[in-house]
Order: sequence, then C-alpha cells, then structure tokens
Amino acid sequence: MGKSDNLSPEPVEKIIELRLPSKLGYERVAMDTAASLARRMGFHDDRVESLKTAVSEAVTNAIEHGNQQDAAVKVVVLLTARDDELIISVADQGRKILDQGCTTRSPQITDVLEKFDKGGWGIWLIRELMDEVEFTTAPSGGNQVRMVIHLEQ
Amino acid sequence: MTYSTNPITSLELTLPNELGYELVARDAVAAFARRLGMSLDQIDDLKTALCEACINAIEHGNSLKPDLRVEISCRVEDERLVIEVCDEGVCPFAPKSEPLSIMEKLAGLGSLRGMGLMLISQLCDESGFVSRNGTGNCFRLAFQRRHVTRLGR
Repeated sequence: MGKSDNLSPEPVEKIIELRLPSKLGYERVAMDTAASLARRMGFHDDRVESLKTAVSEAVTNAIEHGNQQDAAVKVVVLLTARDDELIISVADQGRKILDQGCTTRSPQITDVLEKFDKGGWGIWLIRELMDEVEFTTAPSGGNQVRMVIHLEQ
Repeated sequence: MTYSTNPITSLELTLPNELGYELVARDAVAAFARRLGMSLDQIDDLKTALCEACINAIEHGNSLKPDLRVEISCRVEDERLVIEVCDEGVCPFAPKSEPLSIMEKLAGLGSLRGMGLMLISQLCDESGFVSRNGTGNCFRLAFQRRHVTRLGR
C-alpha cells in the first residue's frame, strides 16, 4: 500500500464568495444567500433559521464595528459547503479591532437592563446558535469570525 | 448615453461551476434587489433571467468543468440595476446567424432547448454579451428600477 493510500481523502468542498457594501440592511443579502445554500444542502428549517440569525449578527458586527459603516469598503462572506457541514467566514477591514475579551464573555441580562444600550448580544447569540465559532484575523488584517454548522443526517 | 455608477451600492458573488448553484445566486441577487426597493414582479423577472444567464455560463462558457468559477457583479447605475455574469471562456460565445423561432422549435425543426437568450431578452430592459478585460464571456443584464408603490399612503 502506498503512502498516499493511508491519507483520508480531502473533503469535497464548494465555495461561494460574497462581497457586500458595509451598509446596514445588506446583511439580509448574506442571510438569504446562506439560507439558500443551507436548504440546498439539506439543513432542517430550524437550523436554517439559526444560521440566518448568526450570519445576520456576524455581518452586522462587521458593518457597524469592523468597517465603521463605511459603505465603500466591503464585508467578505465565504460560504464553504462540505458533505457534512457548512462553514461561514465573515471578514471586515478592521477599522476597529475586536476586543478578544468580548468573544468569550456572556452578557448578564440584569446588567443589560440597566444600560441604555441594549446591544452586545451578537457574539453570545452566535456562540449559542452555531456548532463551532472562532474569532481570528482576516488576511486583510481585519476581524474574522469563522462559524461552523454541522449537517445531521 | 452615459450612466453614473454608484460604486458603493454594489455586490460581487462568485460561484462553483456546478448546476444548481444558480439558485443560490438567484436568492442572493433577489435579496439585493429587494434592498434597492424593486417591485416583486420585476424581481421575479430578474430571478428567471439571472438563472438562465448563470446556466449558460456554467454549461456553455465553462463547459461544466467543476474547477472553474462563475463571477456575478451587481451595481446601481442611476436608476438601473446592472448585473454581469462572467465565465472563464472555455467555450467563447458564437452567435448563431438565424436562431430558430419558438414555432419552429415546436414544429420539431430543432432542439427545444436553447431559448435562454431569447427569454432573457424578454425579461430585461437590456441584455447581451459585452467585451471584458481578460478571458471569458461576460453577459450583461440591465433593469430599469421600478419601485414598489405603496397603496393608501
């Protein structure tokens, strides 16, 4: 048996790349694109809804924070479809670098109720809804979130 | 006539060269058109025309080769939405001198397929192949934006 026979085959993957204006509202384009691909892959409706919410939060963060709503710069969304999972990567240009401490903290509802700004739930929601979540630096130097949702047969 | 392009309101999408992915492109571009406030009737036309253009790119321009890509760009020029669907040009487009009419096809004088370009031309305000820097075919579809009219307001 040759050496190459011991290696498991590379997973077959199909990649869709989407480049969106950094303007609030356009996260819906990413949501609908991800949902369309997920339905085609065979995800159940409730998982598709979870995916849409997570994509919406990730792209909204990229538009509002990472790209500071400068519509001329793009948010890049990569959707990688494999046989058993869908990987979604959302990258911005890093006008504001994400505090890594924000990526692990869970907001407390009692604290949030006392604040005027009721936001800050996005990352927590993404972690709750996706099977794997990782915050890294994009090739552009900006923020990148990589989310994975597993396909249960 | 010259049109002024809004560089901000643009979307780029690249797809695997596989039949079926035109449906993901359809849903992405339909979401973009909804953001622009286009009417549902017009979005229905756009979806059909875009699918036909993508299928042409996948089947003909890229000859169903799985390692190639289809690129789609959408931009706003004044009151028009302009969409370009580009392939890698394995098979350059060569217009037939005298395409068969629907009646001739129904009479059995030719394949029942091959009506995509005619269908697209009926659904768009402007359509046709355009020259592109580099290799590949580039098909342009343009829609004069008709906004949703709100009754009773």
